[in-house]
Amino acid sequence: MNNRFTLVSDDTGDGDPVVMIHGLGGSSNTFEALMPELAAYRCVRPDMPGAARTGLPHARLTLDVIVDLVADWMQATGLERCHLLGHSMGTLVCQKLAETRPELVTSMVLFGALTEPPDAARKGLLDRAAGVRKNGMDGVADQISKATLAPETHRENPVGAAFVRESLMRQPPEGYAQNCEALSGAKAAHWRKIKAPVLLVTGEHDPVAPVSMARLLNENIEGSEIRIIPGCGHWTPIERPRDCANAAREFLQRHRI
Amino acid sequence: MKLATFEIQSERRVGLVDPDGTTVRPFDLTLAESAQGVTVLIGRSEMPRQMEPIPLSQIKLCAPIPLPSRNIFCVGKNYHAHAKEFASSGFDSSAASSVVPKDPIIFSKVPETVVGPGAEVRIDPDVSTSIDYEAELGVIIGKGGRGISAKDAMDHVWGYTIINDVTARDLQGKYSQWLIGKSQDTFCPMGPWVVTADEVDLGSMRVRCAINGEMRQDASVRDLIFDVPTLIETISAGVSLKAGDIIATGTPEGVGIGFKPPRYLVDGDLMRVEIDQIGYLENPVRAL
Repeated sequence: MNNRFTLVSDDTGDGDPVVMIHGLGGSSNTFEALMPELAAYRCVRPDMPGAARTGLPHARLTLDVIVDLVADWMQATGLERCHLLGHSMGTLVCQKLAETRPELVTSMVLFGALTEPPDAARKGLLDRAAGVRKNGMDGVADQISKATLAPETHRENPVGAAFVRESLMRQPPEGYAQNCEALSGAKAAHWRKIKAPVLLVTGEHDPVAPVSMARLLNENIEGSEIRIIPGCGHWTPIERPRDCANAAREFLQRHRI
Repeated sequence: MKLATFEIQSERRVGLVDPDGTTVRPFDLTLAESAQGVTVLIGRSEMPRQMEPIPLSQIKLCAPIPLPSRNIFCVGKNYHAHAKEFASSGFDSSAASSVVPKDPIIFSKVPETVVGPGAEVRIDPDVSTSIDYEAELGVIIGKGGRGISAKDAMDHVWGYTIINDVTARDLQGKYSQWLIGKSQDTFCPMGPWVVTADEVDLGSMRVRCAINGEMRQDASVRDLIFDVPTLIETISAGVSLKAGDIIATGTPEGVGIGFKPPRYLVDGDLMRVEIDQIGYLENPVRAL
């Protein structure tokens, strides 16, 4: 097997491993602000296929292709059993991993968790893919930062808003486009098969993965917990890093490997 | 068409990769034919029968032409910005003549340097301490000839692949002929497959190289000093080209030698060369 695909990642600290899966337009830096609070863990943060430093694989991206790549990479990296942290599209990857490879997953913390994209969003994602292929990332970066952060974040945490814009702007257009297409075609996980403990952390004002989605997951994933963060939009780890880090740390302490 | 050479259960096969890059359909060829790699398909009026598709995850990709029938033709200093960075590096034994060459600099690598996707590029500290990557577009000749004019040259191109023209800079500088520095064992990663010329638009193609995820090279093939037709005209003027010949067209700015101080390859580095419309070629670096 020489076709193994490498996810460029940051791998720091000792302790039980925590793998952090960012979302569409993110990178390992999506979780950077949480790192000081998680110093007791080995934190492994890949850039996902087609995002930031990681290139695209031979296969056109679909959610299943991404999940397989992550599972293979985890095996190659010696991550046999770990906690998963996910954000946005990354929460779909986490859910599928927990569903199809339960032996890998001790627990999951899902920020801005998605069930699956609503039909209207699927079409929008395909349009966005075509748009960035033609015009690059700049327009989308503005649009996403305006539309997905809470108004309060723009007002009180302009550096966070700038981070989100920058994170989008620096994505390779083809990689971002293929991720849009993968998300557009993504189907919900079989929630009943998820047996790992799950903490759902969702912003009160999240327009992409609204509180109703988190509640639906909470009802369908046995034993899951939910926490709603007031005054927060979709980019929970950026908009409310302290709340996210505290929630994650407290949850991980209760679910040791 | 994306045409790949691969191994399954240690047997070499040649196959057609589907456009999504998820499966490969082996051609119904004998093992002896398959051993040649994709060049066995050159000049056929129709493709051989295809067998059932196999997921790419179950095969091992090989270099599309695992052992070329003769040396690989290569081109030195063929992008303007790279010609400048190399001429000022102190390792350019051709620098005395000019920064931008008046005529193409053609050298070669021996066929045995070729390795496939994922294969280790081995560096031997006893032989060289300054080994560098060079992302390049590889041209595969489909129809041979002598005295091919630039105007007709593209009719002789069968397809394209990715080549990493790995180079020992100290040896390249020490010996005025570049062959030794360019022909060290494992110094010609090639792959992941050949894309036939009918599916390639050179005008909109970029060549990139990342080391450990850090982008080092990123240039348009349009920026070649001597374009593909000119290279074919130049070489074939007196050297008959043959079907299956390979021309590595040169590397753009951003090689390790271009940094101050230089950033040479070290054990554990991962090289990734990407070319639009073809795909990517990844190879790890391993010190002996």
